[in-house]
Formats: sequence, structure tokens, C-alpha cells
Amino acid sequence: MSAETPPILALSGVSKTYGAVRALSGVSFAVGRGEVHAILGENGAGKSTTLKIINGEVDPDQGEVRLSGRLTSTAERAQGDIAMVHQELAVFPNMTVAENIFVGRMPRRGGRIDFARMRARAAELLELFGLQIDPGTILGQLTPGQQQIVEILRAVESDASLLILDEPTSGLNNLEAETLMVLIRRLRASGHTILYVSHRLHEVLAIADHVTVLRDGQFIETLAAAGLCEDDLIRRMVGRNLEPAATTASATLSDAPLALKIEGLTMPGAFTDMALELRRGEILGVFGLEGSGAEDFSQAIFGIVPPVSGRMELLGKPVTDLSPAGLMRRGMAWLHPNRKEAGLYMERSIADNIAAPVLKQLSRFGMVNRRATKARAQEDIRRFAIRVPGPEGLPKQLSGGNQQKVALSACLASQPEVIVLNEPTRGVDVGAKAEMHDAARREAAAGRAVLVFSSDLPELLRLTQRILVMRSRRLAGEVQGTAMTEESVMALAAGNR
Amino acid sequence: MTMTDTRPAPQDSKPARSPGFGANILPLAVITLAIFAFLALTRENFATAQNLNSILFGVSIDFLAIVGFTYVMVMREIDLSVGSVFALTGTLTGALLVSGWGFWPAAGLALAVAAFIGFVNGFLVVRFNINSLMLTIGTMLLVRGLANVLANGLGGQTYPREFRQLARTNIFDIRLTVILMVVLVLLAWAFQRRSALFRRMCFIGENVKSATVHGIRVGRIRILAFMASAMTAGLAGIFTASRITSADVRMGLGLEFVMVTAAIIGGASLYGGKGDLRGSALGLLLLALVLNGMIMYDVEPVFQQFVIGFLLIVTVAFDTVMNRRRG
Ligand SMILES: Nc1ncnc2c1ncn2[C@@H]1O[C@H](COP(=O)(O)OP(=O)(O)OP(=O)(O)O)[C@@H](O)[C@H]1O
Ligand SMILES: [Mg+2]
Repeated sequence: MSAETPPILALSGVSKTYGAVRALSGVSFAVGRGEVHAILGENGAGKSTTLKIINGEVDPDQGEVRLSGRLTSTAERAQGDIAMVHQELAVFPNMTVAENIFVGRMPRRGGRIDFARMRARAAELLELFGLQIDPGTILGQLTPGQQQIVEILRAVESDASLLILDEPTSGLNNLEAETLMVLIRRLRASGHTILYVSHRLHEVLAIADHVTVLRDGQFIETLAAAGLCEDDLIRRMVGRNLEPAATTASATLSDAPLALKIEGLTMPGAFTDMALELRRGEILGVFGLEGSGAEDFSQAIFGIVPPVSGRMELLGKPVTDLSPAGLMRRGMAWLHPNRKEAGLYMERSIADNIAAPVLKQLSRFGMVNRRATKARAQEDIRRFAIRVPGPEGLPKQLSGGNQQKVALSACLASQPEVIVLNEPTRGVDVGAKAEMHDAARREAAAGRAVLVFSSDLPELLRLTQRILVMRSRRLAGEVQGTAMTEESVMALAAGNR
Repeated sequence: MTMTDTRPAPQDSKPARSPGFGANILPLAVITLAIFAFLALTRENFATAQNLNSILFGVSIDFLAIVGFTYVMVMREIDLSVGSVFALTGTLTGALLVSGWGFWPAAGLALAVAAFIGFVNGFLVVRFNINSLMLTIGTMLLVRGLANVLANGLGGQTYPREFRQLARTNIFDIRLTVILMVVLVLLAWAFQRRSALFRRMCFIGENVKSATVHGIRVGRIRILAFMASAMTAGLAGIFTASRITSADVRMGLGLEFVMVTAAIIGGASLYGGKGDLRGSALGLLLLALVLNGMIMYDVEPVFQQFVIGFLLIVTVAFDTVMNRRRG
């Protein structure tokens, strides 16, 4: 940056407290025009808060934010030349895909909305991600990953000179994330400035020019990304070294008893003839790209949308009551892929959240033992290192990653024998991710069975012993052992062999 | 793995309260007391034993109807058929008595009819995912029609003497319904504070998808709540029929709007997840005091409707604004 051109964005001494929680204290850093600038930090470090202040959604208690050298107010920034993709989906589920992309600035001709042009442009944008979706589709019908892409496209299409992306890839699979990287490079080349937050460090290293590290709401440093490796970033985020990530040993389990057996499961239009065998002590992965039917399959085996035909055996007995309540009673638990949609009660205490699936165990004669409820929450807060003031805190006050930890605690609260995890580490930091993986391994080591649906392929490769791959709404194949690589799984999932 | 736990969690922060339980009882009690004091000081015939008794008696009967209604609202549903079910149950009991039935069989059958209507409401909401607001407007009209047919058939005939005595039953000089109200408020206090069922209802009201994923039997609880709502409305209807001594097509007209207003004043929300029967009782009392005050100040009775409508709009607007803020 030369002395004459001020940075496009400069924060100085920005602080924000929520009640007694210090989200940010005295954060100062600058972002140069036309660069990709990543902000890193653990869950609750203050990244989203920083971004929301920049975007004019949150009013800082102290400090200044300058855009191209000019001091701005929160209200000005809210109106300004800034677009943001939020960590939590902020879409209009009842409007069409095209309307969601062009919300607020629909193309017009002669005073009327030019729907034809809008649809054509939307289709073009969707095509960037290889999505063959009719732009007239109601958004709520898309998968969460697809909705995330629509939200990204909305920001891209706004052509704002400062683009803020808060964990845009947390719901995307590798291919889609790669596409986003290409898109970001292209935007940078055309002069846009991009602020980027992600817990997927390899992405950060691949696209960022500079990295700003936050820790506990404080600015640690801004450094050039060139020449750094993941460990460098982790060390700066957590302030010390981290043990290398463990991988799951591939044990021979062929003689362990079957925990879940599925045969010929079919739901017309969603998936056909699905089968799997999951043994006690095993961690089995299921991978599929958008539209592969993996998501529907996951919902079906928990009876959220019951399948039409097929057989399911849970812990050696046929399933007769295929409903979430019936399956939970028989020892199954299921983590929803999108914590904003289901898995949490934002307005109720953490203690209540974790107690929700186990109210029965926590009560006698229908009356809840509140002391036990609180003790249990305290234990989980410690076990998963959830950053909350206490069991009475509300999920809506937590950072995204910490919300995810609460959702997982609730899922495991019933001490299930068969655990189905959907996108279990969405939006959690490297350390917490490792903790959650350890938790899953502990469950497996204790003889429980774990089934993981994840769009994060590296996560599946590290965590599971075997991966089922779905393509075109049926089983495409299975990989395990040394054959389990990113390439082999993607080849099966995309069908280009 | 020990990395995040080395960081001190912000311990000093004051925990936020879960809503839905007792948050606005105290301010509400203060406001109600203030209105009471105002009327007592400015109007001499307000604080008479007779007037106060009659207010409390009316509130205690309406209170019976708001019991189930409040818990339906906790689950983010609404039951606008309460007023009609109230009328049908009361009139049916009376009609059966007139035609020579005994009290218990008559009341039992009428309550069973109420329960059935509640079941149908709940079943349709659960099975076909119908919006309960629209559905129960339909039930409201339909049931009102039935009640009117019955009332017209009776043609202003007074109910048998024993039935007319029911509402006037006293225990230690206190009306039976007032005692019932006190007992129910105490039970509600324990129910809301401790019971697993009330929590489940709150969970369903706040996020039905989360509740489903957590293995809560949403459909069953919803149907039960609608049945409870119709049955408590029916119970109140029986006492009311006894109190007014003869069939009347105006019985329970507009009751549902009084209930919504009172329940929201008392801490329930159209957006579900909260509600407090103690608050609902105070809400009813507050509305009754306001209406009584208007009479004391010789305001034209036609304005009562106006005031109820006004308060309904204010409370609903307030509820909506608060809900937007929490989102
Ligand atoms: N509305 C709120 N009310 C109370 N506390 C809040 C609120 N929003 C954020 N916080 C607190 O501020 C801190 C920073 O949160 P923030 O969302 O910025 O974290 P983050 O770095 O984005 O984390 P993550 O990686 O998990 O998304 C956290 O401790 C969080 O609990
Ligand atoms: Mg965040």
C-alpha cells in the first residue's frame, strides 16, 4: 500500500461487549484494496462479530471503522458498498432461487422487473457451480448446501467492492468449495476486496494474501500468507502447539455384532435400493455430492421422511416404529445437518437444550430434576469446552462453533448405541473438530456404532474406517483401508472413472 | 485434546433467563394492582364486596377456559374455537337436563363432545399440517351453528333448578370456581416449573423440528393440547350456562379474543415457546377490571368491544415486535 491510497478498510480500537461477555477488545487491522484477507481464530474468537461490525449490522461500543480512509458510521456501512454472506443461512425460503439471488436489485426494463433476464442470469450463475437448478424453484426445496451457494451468488452478483464471506464453505463439498476458490480469485482479479473466514485452513492458505489472527476477542497479528503452513496458523490461533490430528485405526470388525442393517431401502424420487451394514465399534462414512440422495437417505433412516419400502434392523431387531421417537427409544440418535434449522432451541437455556432428548431419564413421575439437568449441562460444557457463561446461557448468544457443540451434546445426551451424525463439525475450529472426532472415536471404542454423513471429505477420510459413496440416488460403491483416498471417493461420487 | 479449555470462560457474565416462565408476572401484578387502586380510590361503588365478588366470579369461570388455551399457544398453535365450544357444551348440558337427564350423564356427554371437537382440531392440524388459526376459525363457525340450533330449540326456557345452583355452589363461603382457580394456578405453577411435559410443549413451540429430532412425540402432544383446550372451555361453558340460567345464543361470543389478549398479556406469544397460566389469570383479571372500570365510569357498553379490539391489537403488535427482536 502506498502512502497516498489508504486501505479500503481499517479498524482501530474496535470493542464490543454483550452483557458481560467481551466479544472484541480493541481490535485494529487494515485490509488492502484488491486482496483476499482471511480472519482466523478459534470458535468465539470474535470473527463474526468483527465482520458484522464492518457490514454495519452490529454497532461497536468503541473504535472506528474507516472505508478508504473515511470514517464511517454503522448506518452508513449498512447502506454501503459491502456485501456479506453470513455464517448462518439468511435466505428467503419461500421465494424462488432467482429472487433470492437478486433480492433488492432485480433487473428492470421500463419500470417492471425483467423476469426473463433475471432467470437467464441466475441460471448462468448457478451453472458456475454446475448446478442445473431451474431458477424458478422455491429455495426451500433445495438442500442446505445449494441454499448456501445461492447466498454466495447473491453476494457475488451484488458486485460490491468489499465482499465478506463468513464460513461460506461450511456446508459445501470439496468440488463446490474448489469452485468458490476459483470464483474468489476471479473476483480479486477484477478488483474486488474479499474478507474471508473459514476453519478449513487449507482453503485459507490457498487463496488468502494476508491473514489476521484474533484470539479471545483480541487482535494478535496480521501476516502475509505466502510461505505459511497450517501448523503456523494453528499455533497463532491457539497460542501454542497442537498435537497432530489423529486418524482412526482400521480395526477388523467383521465379527462384531451388527448395530444397524438396512436392505433395499427405497423412496421414489429420493433414493433407490440402499443398503448398509454397520457394526458395533465401527465408524462408517457416507459421502455423496449434492443431489446424490445422501441427505434424503439420512433423513429416511431416522424416520423424518419415512421411506416407502425396505427393511431396517436396529441392534438385531427389526424396526417397527420408524419415527424419530421410536428409534430414539431403541437407542439411536441423529444430529441434524443444520443447527439453525433443528437441534437447538435458541431461546432456551443450554441446560434445557441438552436435556431435551433425555427429559424422561431426568424426571421422576413426570417432574424434571432440575439439579441433575444443570449438573449434566455443566459436565458437557466441560467435556466439549463449550464457551458459555454457564448452563443458563442461551444458544443464540454463542458463536456458531459453540452452538454446534451444544447441538452435539444434546445428540449424545441419550447415550445412544447407534449414532448418526450429519455434518458434525460444521463451522467448528480445528481444535474443537479434533475434540469432536475424539468423542466419536471414544463412542466407537466403547462399542457404539457411528454413521457419519459429511460433505467434508477430508474429515470422513480421517474419521471413518469405511466410506459408502452415493451417486444419482443410489449406492455407487464402497471404499476402505488403503484404497480410501480423496481421489477414489470423488471418482465414485462424480462418476468419472 | 485439551486446547480450548485452557481459555477461561467468561464466568462473570450474568446468565440470561429462559423466557416463558414468570418473566412478566411481577410487572403484570403491579399494573393490575394499580388499576385496582385507581378504581377503588376514584369510584366508591367499585370496592364493594358485591362488585368485587362478581368480578372475581366472572374471572374464575373464564379462567377455566383459558387453561388449555394457554398451553395450545405455548405450542405455537391457537384454538379460536374455544368460545363456540364453551357455548355448545354449556347449552348441551342444559338441554339434556331440560329433557330429563341427570346432571352427571349430561355434563359427561357434553364434555365428551367437547373432547371430540378438540380431537378433530388436533388431528387435522397434525395429520394434514393445517394452519390452526384458519382451521379453528372453521370449527368456531361450525360449532357455533350447532350451539345456536340447540339454544333456539330451547327458546329461552330456564334450566332446572339444581343446575342453576351449580355455579353458585360455595365452599366455606367461597365460590367453587374461585377455589378451582386457586388450585389450578398452584398446580400450573408446579407444572410449568417442574414437569417434563410443559418443557416438551415449550420445545415444540419454539422449534418443532428440533423437538422431532429429539424424539418428542409432537403429534400426540399437540392432539392432547387441543383436547385439553376444548375440555377446559367446555367446563367453563357448563358453569356459565348454570350462571346465566337459560340458553342464550350470545353465550361465549368473542370469548376467544379475550383469551388471546389475556394470554399474551400474561406471557404467551403467538410465536410459541412460552406461556404462563398464572399470567393468563392475571391477564383476565386485568381485562375484567378495565371493563368493570368502564362501567363504573358510565362508558357506553358498545365501547367494550372497541376496547377489547384495541387491547388485542396492542398486545399482538407488542408480541410481534418482541419476537422480531429475539430473532
Ligand atoms: N448476540 C450475542 N449475545 C451475547 N453474546 C454474543 C452474541 N453474539 C456473540 N456473542 C459472544 O461473542 C463472542 C464472539 O462471537 P463470534 O460469533 O464473533 O465468534 P466467532 O469467532 O465468529 O466464532 P465461530 O468460529 O464459532 O463462528 C462469543 O463469546 C459469543 O458468545
Ligand atoms: Mg462465527
